[in-house]
Amino acid sequence: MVEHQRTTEVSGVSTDAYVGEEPDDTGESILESLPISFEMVLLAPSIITLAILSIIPLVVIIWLSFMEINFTPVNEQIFVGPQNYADMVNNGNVWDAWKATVVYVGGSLSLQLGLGILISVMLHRVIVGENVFTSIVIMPMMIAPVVVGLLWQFLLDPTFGLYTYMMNQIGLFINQPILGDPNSAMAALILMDTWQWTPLIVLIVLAQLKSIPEHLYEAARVDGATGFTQFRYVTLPLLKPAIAIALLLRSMDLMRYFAKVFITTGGGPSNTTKIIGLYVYEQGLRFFNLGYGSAVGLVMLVVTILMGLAFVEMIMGGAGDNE
Amino acid sequence: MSKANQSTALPRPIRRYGPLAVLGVFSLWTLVPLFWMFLSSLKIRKSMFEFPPTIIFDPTLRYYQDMFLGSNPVTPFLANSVIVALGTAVLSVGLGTVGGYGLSRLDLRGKKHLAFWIISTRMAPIVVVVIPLFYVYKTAGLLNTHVGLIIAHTTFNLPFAIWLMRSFFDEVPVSLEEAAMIDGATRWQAFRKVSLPLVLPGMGATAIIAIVFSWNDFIFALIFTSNATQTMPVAASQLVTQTGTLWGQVMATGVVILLPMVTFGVIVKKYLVSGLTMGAVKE
Repeated sequence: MVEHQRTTEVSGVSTDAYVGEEPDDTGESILESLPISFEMVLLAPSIITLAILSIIPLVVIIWLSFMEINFTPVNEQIFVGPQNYADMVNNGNVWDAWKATVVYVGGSLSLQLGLGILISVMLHRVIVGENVFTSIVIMPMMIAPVVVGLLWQFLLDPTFGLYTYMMNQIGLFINQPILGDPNSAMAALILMDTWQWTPLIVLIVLAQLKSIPEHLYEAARVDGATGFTQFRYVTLPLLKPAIAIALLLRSMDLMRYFAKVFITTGGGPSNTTKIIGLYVYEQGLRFFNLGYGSAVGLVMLVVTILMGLAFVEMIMGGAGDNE
Repeated sequence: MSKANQSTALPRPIRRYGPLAVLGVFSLWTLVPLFWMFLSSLKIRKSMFEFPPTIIFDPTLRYYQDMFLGSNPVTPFLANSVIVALGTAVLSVGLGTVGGYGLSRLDLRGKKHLAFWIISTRMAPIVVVVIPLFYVYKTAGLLNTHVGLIIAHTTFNLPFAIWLMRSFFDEVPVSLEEAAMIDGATRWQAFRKVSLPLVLPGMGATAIIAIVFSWNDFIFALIFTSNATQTMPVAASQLVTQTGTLWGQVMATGVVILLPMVTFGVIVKKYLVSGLTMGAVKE
């Protein structure tokens, strides 16, 4: 539909000529006459903002990691070279924090993935009630980690917690606070995160399940595959991209956040649940060893990026591919 | 379609009711803590600590009353949360819509890397951002200001908004814009008048999810605010003290924090999967 009488608004020049296939060439818009592409002009404000927001912190944290920063009695910045890194390697607490992180992240990921796949497959099978069910499961994801932490602390309280009471009824954790024992405290933290974030995996896997074409199952049935065989050899391989995305998002967030741990155990008992994020936080912002905290934080950043890249490779051989 | 992956090996009742039973248990596991939280926010101190726990009791609205009308009302903290959440949502969705459109239509060799760099800023561990920002803010005098916290929240909301909006624009056919341009529209007009209206619902969903992220944040708010600029989660965390915690008050505060966000979640349910996966998964 070409309206030959249409006035080009920017130039104000009335033209009844056919504009042609490449309106870009008319060069009437200021935006389009710039040396960089129109898309880049639109993207530029975001890129500049992000560059400021990500490059400044990065440069500052690298600089900090070679410094000793004091605020009292006087503001001073002392260059200490690689001293912070040497301290880190020689500090047993860092290694303990990494061990706790591996247990926390690994435990949460495997539990959430297993449970998430199970629930989504079940959900895919029922014909009614999917709507109600999804409304229920999205609730925990919307809740502030602080509130989740406080809620679970309340549920697990040794004297009046509902879940402590239930455990006591079956003879467990009597006179033994759940958050007070290294093993059960870590298990509780993993369960807490599982409670909040398994729904995300359910929704991601469910979306993929819905996209699996029916005829694949029919073909599998013709070949005699039923039940578990069918799941193992038809469904599971097709779920791989969804699982990779779920793992990427969950692992990044598990590394990223530590508010629930901060609220419930604070890293205790005796540092057994002090994951690396919390450790860096305490060093940098509670004890104000900004330099040392930055050094450990940088290592944490590198580990997180490598983890992320590994999952991204798994998903699509690089981020941002348009299929 | 769901008949398809049912097995023929299991007895019929299990096939039929098994999934429902599993989903029922999972729903209980999800709902019981929330239900308990709500009940506890209505219980007087005495019945809260009764064993076995009681479900039937005389409800009281005392904690909610105290929260808003007591000597230490939460209203200023609520206001702080709203200001910061709206600030970062406007900033992120504003920039993110224009940027997301640019990223969607961009034809560039290194686009993959550019997109990955954008999202990587959203994936960085919070402490790694907080420590340097703390130092910068301390030097620049941005600690304990709303602006400081809005900027801090934009570090995670802007990359999120760019990616999500880009995924919405990816679904708008370029041919629509081309048709408009043949009719004489400029590139900007094609974006503004043709594509933008089509992604308005997505924009709304992006804004709401950005608000949820900001509202729920704890660590940034803990470091970058003081008593005057505190947000709700920080205020809630300070209700727990060594010398006796008023759990009824804590639970009531929790309900006030979660209720608007859960409502938002239900409103944008349709967009939640793509939102929380930053557009990687579409329903």
